[in-house]
Amino acid sequence: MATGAKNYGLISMIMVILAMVPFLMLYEMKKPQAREWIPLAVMAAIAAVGRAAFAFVPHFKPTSAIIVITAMVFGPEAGFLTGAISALASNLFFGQGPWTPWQMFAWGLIGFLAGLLSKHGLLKKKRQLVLFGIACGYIYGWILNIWSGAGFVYGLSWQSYISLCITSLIPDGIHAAATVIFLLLLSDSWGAKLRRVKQKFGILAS
Amino acid sequence: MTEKKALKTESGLSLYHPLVSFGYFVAVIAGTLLFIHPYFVLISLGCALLSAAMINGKKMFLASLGFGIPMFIFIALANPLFNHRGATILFYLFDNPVTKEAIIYGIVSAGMMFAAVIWFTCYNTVVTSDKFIYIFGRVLPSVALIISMTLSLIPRLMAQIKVIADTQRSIGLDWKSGSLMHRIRAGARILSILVSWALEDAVITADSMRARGYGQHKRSTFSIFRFGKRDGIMLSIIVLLFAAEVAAYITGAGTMEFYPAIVAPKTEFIDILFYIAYAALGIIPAAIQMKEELKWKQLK
Repeated sequence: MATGAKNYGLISMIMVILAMVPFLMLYEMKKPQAREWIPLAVMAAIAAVGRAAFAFVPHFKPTSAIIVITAMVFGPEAGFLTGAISALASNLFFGQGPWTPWQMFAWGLIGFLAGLLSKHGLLKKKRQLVLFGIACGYIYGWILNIWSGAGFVYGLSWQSYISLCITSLIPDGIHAAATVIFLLLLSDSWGAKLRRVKQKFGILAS
Repeated sequence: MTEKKALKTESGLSLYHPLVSFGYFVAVIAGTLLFIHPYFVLISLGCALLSAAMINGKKMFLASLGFGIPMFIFIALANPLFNHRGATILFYLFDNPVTKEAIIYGIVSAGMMFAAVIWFTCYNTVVTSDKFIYIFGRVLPSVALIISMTLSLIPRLMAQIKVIADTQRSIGLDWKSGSLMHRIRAGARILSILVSWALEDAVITADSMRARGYGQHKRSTFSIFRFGKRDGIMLSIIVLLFAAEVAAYITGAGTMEFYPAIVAPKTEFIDILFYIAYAALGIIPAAIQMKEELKWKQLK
């Protein structure tokens, strides 16, 4: 095997794409009906549009909050799908690039975790929601830092990864703050809207 | 945005089967990300810029340069600041050594990222979202359908946002003025109104789809793609050149030592062959485009 500069860029990118496959297969195997997945397409589109609408404040995006709210109502698999698709779709505005799979995975994971936590009743209190909102900003930022590290710096080391995370503390903090603000502003009313649609049309009931 | 794309006449690589054009970009972007090697990066970047200039149109090409060049500079500077490996220390910055190896590595990897970004802009022009969905619809049909639905919803939602924002402004809730918190609140309000509208609309769409027999048969696609002889030949060429890339990586021709000290890239006969094969892969979009333009001029 080659002895020169090991290339983490491509390897990490292939790994992150493969990491998404089980989540997507999980959803695919459910053979979802149209009315089950259409609300997810709507929410992913709104998350993408929201990201573009708030582009006037750097790093301040409602996308994570919208994904979390959707996942809280529709569950972990649906949350992953909504997150991944909103990243893919919003890059229509921001440009696709080698970062697209990372953003898909990061937002997918946020959706999956939100669905999982909510399933076990861990996102009911406002305090829990605020904590998770803060976590979202950093989960997203730290996953994307893996890519920055793999792409830019030879031999991705813990030291360089940690220094990348330190440099991104403020942008990730703004993202975390945005997520908390939007969760507090929207979670009750949007949650009610989504639950109403879910109940009215019997989505995921059968 | 999608409308603009539809208006542009298709040419060159766009006319091939999605499997060919998608496969091409997988091969060329994989190669770009695989080789942190000055010659390979130079070849990839040169071919990417040439292809982008020929297929993306002037405005988009300049926009991608406007994004790519600052990114190139940023990465080239970031590497020696974060990475202190290498034998030749040039000077100390805030007590950290800045090495010649890290600077050169930074320039090469910045060139690699620059090339990857430019290739992606070409990908966006050639592999339109209907082609992407055509390919993924075979493997993950439901997921591909959700993606296609999301993409079709976005322009409709954008139009609706404008309507809602105008209405809100007329009752004094303008999201474009006032304090930041006011703007955020007003923006969130617009999105909330949008959600109510879109969800109701969507479930009706779903019922309408079911009434028309969605899920009863295999889905057809909007665009009809036929895999012809020309596609077969082109795909074989791409696969062959991709195999050469993999061989270059395995034999070590595509990798280079940067640390602790730089070893000059090899220029033996076999290495030259690998460079040529890689350049041949990179030149494909530009070559097809040029061939078409020549033919057009001759026929005129």
